[in-house]
Amino acid sequence: MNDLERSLKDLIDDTRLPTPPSIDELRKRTERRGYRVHQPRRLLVGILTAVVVISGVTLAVVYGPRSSQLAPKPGRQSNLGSPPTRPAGLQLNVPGPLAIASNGDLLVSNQGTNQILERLPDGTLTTFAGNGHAGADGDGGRATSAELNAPIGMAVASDGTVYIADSQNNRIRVVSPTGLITTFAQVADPVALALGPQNTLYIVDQAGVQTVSSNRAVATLLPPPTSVNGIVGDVSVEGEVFAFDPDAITVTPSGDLYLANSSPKVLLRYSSGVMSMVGGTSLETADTYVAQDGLAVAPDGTIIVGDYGGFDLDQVTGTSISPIDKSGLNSIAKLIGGFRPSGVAVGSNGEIYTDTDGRSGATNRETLIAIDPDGKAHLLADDGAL
Amino acid sequence: MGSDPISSHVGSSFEDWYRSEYRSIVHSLVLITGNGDVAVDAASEACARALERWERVSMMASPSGWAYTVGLNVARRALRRARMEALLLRQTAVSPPVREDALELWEAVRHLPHQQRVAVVLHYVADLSQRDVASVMGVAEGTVAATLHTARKRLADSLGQTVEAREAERE
Repeated sequence: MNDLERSLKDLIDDTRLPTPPSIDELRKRTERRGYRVHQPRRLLVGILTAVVVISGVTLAVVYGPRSSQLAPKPGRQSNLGSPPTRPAGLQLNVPGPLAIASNGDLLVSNQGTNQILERLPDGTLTTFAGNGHAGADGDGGRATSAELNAPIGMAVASDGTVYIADSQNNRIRVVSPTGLITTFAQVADPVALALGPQNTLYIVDQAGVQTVSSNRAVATLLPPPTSVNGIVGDVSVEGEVFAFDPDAITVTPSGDLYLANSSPKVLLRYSSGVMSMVGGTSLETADTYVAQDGLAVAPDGTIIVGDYGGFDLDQVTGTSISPIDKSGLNSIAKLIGGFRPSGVAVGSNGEIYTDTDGRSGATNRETLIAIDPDGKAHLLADDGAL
Repeated sequence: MGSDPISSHVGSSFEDWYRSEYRSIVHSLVLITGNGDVAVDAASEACARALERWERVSMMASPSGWAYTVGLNVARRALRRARMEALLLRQTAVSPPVREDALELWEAVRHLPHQQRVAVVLHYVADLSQRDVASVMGVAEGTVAATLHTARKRLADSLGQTVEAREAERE
C-alpha cells in the first residue's frame, strides 16, 4: 500500500457517519421502494382532484395524491444556496437534455439555474420556462415567471405544447403554445419524456415507464407487472435478467421505444411488446452508457445516442450501434478532447445538437454544439468561460 | 491492487460481503460526491439491491464492482435531482465527513476533475482493479490507466503547491 493509497483510505472520519443499516433495514428498504408496488396506477384517481383542507384558521388547496413520496419537496431548497446572481438565461449552467421546439428553436434544460432556455434564430439564449428559483410555484401564469425544481427531460407536441419533467417537484409541467404553465401529471421523480403516436406521452420515472394518453389516463407500461425470479421490477431480455431502471427514452414514429437502462448500462428496444438489446445480445456486448434523456429520433427515423460513457455520439442502425463522425468538434478552439454528451436532439434538416455539462472530459466546459449532416461542428453557446 | 476474485464470493453469504464492503463503498462515495448523506443513502440502496439479487450478484466476477456501479448511479441521480451536483463540486456547500487533519488532501481530491476523482477513489479506496474501474465508469481500461496517471500527477502537484505555499507563508 503506497502513501497516497493509505492517505486516501484514511481520509474519512467514521465518527461522522451513521451506523450501517442492519440486514433487516436493508430488506425493508427494498420493500418500500416505490416502483415495486406500482403506485402510479393510483395516481390517476388523485390527479385533478382538488381537496380543500380546513384546519383551524389554515386553508390550503392540495392538488393530486397526498403521498409524501410524490409531494413537491420545497424544503430541499435550503441545501441549494442562493439563486444565481448572474443574469439568468444567458449562459449555460449544467446543461442537460435538449429538445426542438415546434418553431425549430432549440430548447436546453439548464439545470444549474432550474430553467429551460430557448436558443433563438439569432443565436441568443432566452428563458423559455423557469424564473431561476428552485420551487413549485407559478402554475396558471407565465412559464418564464414560474418556479421549476431540477427540470430534466422535455417533449414537444406538434402544436407547440412543451412537456417538462420537473423532477424534484415530482410533476410533469406543461407549457402551452401561449406560454402559460400548468401541472399535467404527478409522478415520482420523472427524468425523461417522449411523445409517441396519438400524442401519447411516455414518462420515465421511479416506477419505470408510464404512459399518459391525450385524455390524461395514466398507465404503467414497463416493467411488466409479472416478477422475474421472484423480483418485480426485473426484466428478462434475451436470456439476461436484470433490474429495469431506465434513464432515457425516445419513441419512433411507428411507436417503437428505445430506452437506456442505467444499471446495467444497456440500450433496449421495446417493440410490439417484446424487449431486445441494441448493440449486442448479452449485457457485455450490448454495454452502452447513455446520459439521462440522451436519446433522440432523427427525421429519417435513425436513433441518435448520446454515448456518455463512450464520449461519443452514436447512431442505431437496425440492431447495431455505430459512432457518428464528430471529428468536426476538433475544429472548435479549446474543445479538443473528450466531449461527453449530456443531451442530444435532431433538427428537421438532420442537424444534430448536443451539449455537455463539462463535468468530465478534457474540456471541463459547458458547451452547446451543432453538427451538420456533413460533419461540420459549430459552437452555439457556452458557459462564458471559453 | 485487489479486486474481488470470483472464488471469494461465490457461495459466500451476503452478510459477510456486506460487512467487508459497506464501509469502503460509503467512503468512496463520500470522496466522489463530497456529500455524506448522499453517499450513505446511495451505499445503502446499492447494498439493498445487492441483497435483493444476491444469488445472482454473488456469481458475478465483481459483486463490489456491481455495487459501486449502482451506488454511483443512485448518487448521481440524487445529486442531479437536488441540483446539488454543480454546487457541491464547485462550492462544497456541504461539509463532508472528512478528518480535520486531512483537509489538504481532501481539497486536492475535491479539485480533481470528476472522471479523475472517480477513477482514483475506485482504484485506491475501493480497491477495484483497473479493469473493474473501467467497467464501473463505462470507459476503456486504457483510459483508466491514463486517467489515474494524470490524477496522481495532479494530486502531487496540488499537495506540493500547498506545502510550498505554507512554507512561503512561514518565511
